[in-house]
Amino acid sequence: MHSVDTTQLLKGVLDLAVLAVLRDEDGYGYDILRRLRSSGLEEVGDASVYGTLRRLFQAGYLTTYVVPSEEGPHRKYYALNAAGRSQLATSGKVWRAFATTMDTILAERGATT
Amino acid sequence: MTTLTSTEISDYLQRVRAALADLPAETREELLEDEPAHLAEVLAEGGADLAGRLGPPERYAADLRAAAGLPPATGAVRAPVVVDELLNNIKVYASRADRAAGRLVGYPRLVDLAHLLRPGWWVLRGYLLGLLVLLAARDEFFARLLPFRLNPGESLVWLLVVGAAVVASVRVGRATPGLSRWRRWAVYAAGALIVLLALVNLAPRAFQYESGPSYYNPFGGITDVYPYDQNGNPLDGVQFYDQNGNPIQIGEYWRCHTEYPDPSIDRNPYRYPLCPPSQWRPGMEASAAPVTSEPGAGPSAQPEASAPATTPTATPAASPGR
Repeated sequence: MHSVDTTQLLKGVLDLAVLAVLRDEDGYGYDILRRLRSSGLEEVGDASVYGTLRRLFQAGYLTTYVVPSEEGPHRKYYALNAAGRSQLATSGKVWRAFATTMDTILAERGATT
Repeated sequence: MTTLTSTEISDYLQRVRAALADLPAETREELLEDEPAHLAEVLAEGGADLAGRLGPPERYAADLRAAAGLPPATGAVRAPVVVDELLNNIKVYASRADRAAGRLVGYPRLVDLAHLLRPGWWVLRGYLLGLLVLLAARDEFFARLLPFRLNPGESLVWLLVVGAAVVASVRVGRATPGLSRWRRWAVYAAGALIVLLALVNLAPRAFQYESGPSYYNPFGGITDVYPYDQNGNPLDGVQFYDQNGNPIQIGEYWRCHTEYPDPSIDRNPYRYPLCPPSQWRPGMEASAAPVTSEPGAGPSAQPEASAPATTPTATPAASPGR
C-alpha cells in the first residue's frame, strides 16, 4: 500500500470542500481557490478546482453570474442554490460520520498522531 | 493587461484547448470559460510563468477534464508521472534562467523578448523559404518539377515568390499555437530545416567575395617563380619580402619539398625557384611540371648549366594558364 497523501484524499472530498467554502459567500474561481488554500488545502490544484466547479455547475448545485472587473476579464461568480445547500448538508453528514469512524479506528489501533 | 501576458495566456490556453480537442466544442468551451480570467489572476500574482505554476498545458487539461468528470483524452499517450514531473522541473529551472537572462536585456523574461521577436522570425522564415524556392528554380532538376518556369532574375518574380512565402509563413506562424502537438512540432522542424538549407545553400553565395580570392588575385594560379638577373641568367635561392619586411610566400612549396618547413627555425623557407629550374621550359604548364627531385633537395643544389636559355630581361612569371 502506498502512503496516503492529501492529494489523494482531496480527490474524494473536493466537491464537499468547494460547496463548503461557498456556503456563506459567493466567489469567483480564483477566489474559491484562494479560500481553499488559505483554509489549509495548499496542495489543491488549479485545474481540479476549476474542473470541480464545472462539474458542480453541470450537476445543478451552483448558479453563476458575471461581475465586470476593472483590471481584467469579467469574473464569473458561483453561488450555492437550494440543491447545492442540500447536497452540502448531506455530504457534510456523510463526511463527518466517515471522519469519526476513521478517528475511532485510528484511536483504537493505537496509531500515533 | 499587457500584450506580453495576454500572449502567454493565449498560448497556454491554445495548448490546453488543443489537448481537449476530442471533446465536443460546446463542452470544451464551457470547460475553458473561466480560464482567461484564471490565468490572468495567476500571472498577476507574479512568480513563475504559467507552465511553472500550473504545469504543462497538456497535464493541466487532463486534470481539468478529470475533475470535471469527463473521460480521459481518447488515444492520448500520457507520459509516466515521473517523466512528467521531471520535465516540469526542468521547465521550472529553465523558467528561472529565463528570468535571469531577461533582466539582462531589460525584460521580465527572455521569452518575453522572444515572443516580441516572433513575427520577425516568421518573416525571416518566409524570406529564406522564398530564396530557396528561387534557388531551386534555377536548378535544372527542380525546375522540371515545377509546373511553370520561374526566372529568378526578374525582380517581379522575386517579389512574388518571396512575398508569397513571407505571407504564408506569417499565416502559419499565427496559426501554430492552435495546432495539435504533432503538427506544431512539424512546423518547428520545417523551420529548422529551412534555416539549415539556407545556411548550406545561401550562405556560401552571400560570402563568395570574401571566401574566393582566386576570383581577383592574378597570382592565384602561380605554383613557382623563376627569377633571372639582368643578363638573363637564372637566379637561385631568391627570397621575396614586402615593404614591411614580411616574407612573400607564393607558389606551392610542397611540389618539390616533402617536408613542410618549421617557421620557428626558418622564417622564410620560400627560396625561388621552389622547384629545380631544369623542370621548367617556357610555355610549359607550371602545374604539369613533373616532380623528380629527391626529397629535401634544395633549389640551391641546382647546376647553372640547366638554366633555360630564354627571356633575357623581363621576369617570366610562370602562369601561362591564367
